[in-house]
Amino acid sequence: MTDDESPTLLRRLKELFSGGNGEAAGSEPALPDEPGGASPECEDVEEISCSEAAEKVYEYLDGELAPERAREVRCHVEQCKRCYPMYNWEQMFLDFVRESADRAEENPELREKVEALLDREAEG
Amino acid sequence: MTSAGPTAPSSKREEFEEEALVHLDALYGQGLRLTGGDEGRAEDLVQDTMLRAWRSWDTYETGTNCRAWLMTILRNIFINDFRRQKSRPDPVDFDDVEERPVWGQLKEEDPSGEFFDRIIDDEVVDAIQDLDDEFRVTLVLSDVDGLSYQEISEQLGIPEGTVKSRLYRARRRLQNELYEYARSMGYLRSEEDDD
Repeated sequence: MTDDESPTLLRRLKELFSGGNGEAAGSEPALPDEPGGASPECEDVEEISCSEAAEKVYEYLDGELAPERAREVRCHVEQCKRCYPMYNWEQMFLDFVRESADRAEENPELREKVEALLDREAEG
Repeated sequence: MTSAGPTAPSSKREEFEEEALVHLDALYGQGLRLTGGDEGRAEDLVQDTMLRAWRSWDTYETGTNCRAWLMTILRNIFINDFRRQKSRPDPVDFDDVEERPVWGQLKEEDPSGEFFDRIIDDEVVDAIQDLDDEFRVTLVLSDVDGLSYQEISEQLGIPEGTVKSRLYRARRRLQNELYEYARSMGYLRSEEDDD
């Protein structure tokens, strides 16, 4: 798949996360995404399976894994065409929820009630 | 609206208006998220928060993060009440919750990335509000407030493993709600459409 052919979402994934090829997940086995393979930090790391990586997706994205476990996940995901887009999609989902939900709601009547409450408090 | 009073209280009031009252809409938004869209409860929460903030205003250090200070007060008031209510046996059938990951569907049905582009904020807010209490509160504390598993565990008085499990299920359920919405609106291409 070339850049021109890649879907919008996958292009966005590429923009959002540097360092990966962002190609669509397929039935291919996990492969290094760029010539050169794993980064130096992955040379002596314990290999994990795709199902283990899937199990840990939220703990990893929430920053809740111990450094060694996080390194195992990172080393797997960065090289896995199946897990990489899934991880990135889940990260996008969490960002999307936060941006969508964290909003203020206007309520002029409530403002008046609070002002009146403070007036009463100030008056003792 | 403000009453004319002696210099000191008036100054406190002006300071409170400038530093605290400006966050009223944000507090109300948080109240709605935590209560699942219950406007009456959210209003009560905000009023209780403002009253407590006013009474302890001398403990607030001017110029520090007033919004965060107020949000913490509001969260503490809500969680105290929430924990009292939830001391009773939980009515939610957790096994009933849809946990299908939607990524597997979307990579086939959403090749042009419409999912995030077309779903509006209101749909996300509504879907969060529709979650069962335990799921919604855990998700808001984590995904909107940014609390760690340990902090949520301490706040809600539940084990970290339960936080993890509720968060997983809450996110899956939210994804499924939004996925079904996207399907119903025709934003996604179903397999039948390809036939």
